[in-house]
Amino acid sequence: MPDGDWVRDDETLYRRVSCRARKKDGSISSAAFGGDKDLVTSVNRASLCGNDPASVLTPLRPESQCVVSLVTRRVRALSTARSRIDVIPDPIKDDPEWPDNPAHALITSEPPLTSENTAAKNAARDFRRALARLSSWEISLSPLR
Amino acid sequence: MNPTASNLPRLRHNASDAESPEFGKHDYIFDQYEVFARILAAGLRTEHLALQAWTREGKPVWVNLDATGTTIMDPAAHLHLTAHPLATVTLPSDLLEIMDELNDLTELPPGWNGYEVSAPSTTAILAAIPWVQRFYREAVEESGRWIAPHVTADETGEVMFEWSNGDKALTAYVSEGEVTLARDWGPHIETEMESAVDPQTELRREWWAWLAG
Repeated sequence: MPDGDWVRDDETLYRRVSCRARKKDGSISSAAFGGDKDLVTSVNRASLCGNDPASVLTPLRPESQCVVSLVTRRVRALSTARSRIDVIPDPIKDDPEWPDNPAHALITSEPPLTSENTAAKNAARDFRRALARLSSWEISLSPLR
Repeated sequence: MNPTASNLPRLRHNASDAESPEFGKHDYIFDQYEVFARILAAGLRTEHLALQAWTREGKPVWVNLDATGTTIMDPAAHLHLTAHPLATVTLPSDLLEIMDELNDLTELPPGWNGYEVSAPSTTAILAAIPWVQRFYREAVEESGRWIAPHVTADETGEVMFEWSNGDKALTAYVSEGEVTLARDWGPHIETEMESAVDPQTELRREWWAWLAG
């Protein structure tokens, strides 16, 4: 059973991405990991959403959405001597913008990623390319297409 | 009846018989004008232009979609268009595909990837056009080989070119004033990735040779 306060190393994480993230060779573009508030990466814990990747699609233009997955252990293994990468639960409840979502979690970095200068921006880009490399397609073309 | 954007023909593939000594290759002219017209429509002017046909002399014929009657116009009459320096370059088909993909970026709205990303920047797109042309020439000279990139934008609207060859990947982030080139061969940031801001020719060639090899 998943723990509400801790994301286990063997947990699978889903992320909703644009289908434009599919590169010509079938791999995943790092652009799939851009645009999160505060440069933390929004994901969903598969075990808390029925292991159904389609459950993370939103009603808004679902035909343009695809889903990738990552394994928590491999994400945490991106930690270095200078930064600690973690996956933490971040269930959404009573949010004015988003529906309740107990499966929601965040991929975080300590110290936090920033875009305050070119070096920091490039570090955030490195991180996104790393996440793209660790990702696998769950839904690579929308079933509604 | 006025033409609309949806029923205007895309002449990219059937205009090849209309040669023009001025421009050489019409596919490219079409792409450049189309990109620029979108930019005009996006902010600099309020007119919405569309390419209608090529004349026998190889001149593009444009219509003003906002006019009550069909207005045929020569883009050469527009100072902005005639000042565009890229319109005199002939491109190989590899690059024409990239120009189309850059053109497609102009249509992406803010939040296009489902998150809080900016729309691709028109200044970044215009900066990316000559950058990728030069990089293409260098790459082909260096290795005799070209790998088609994935063309997209990052969260701040900069243009991204992503090349892959097996486990090796090369990414260029292009904005109006800066280019960052990054290469990686695994997910580990400290040991399997490196990047360079505004890389010089020698480094660009070296990293391409690494990718293509």
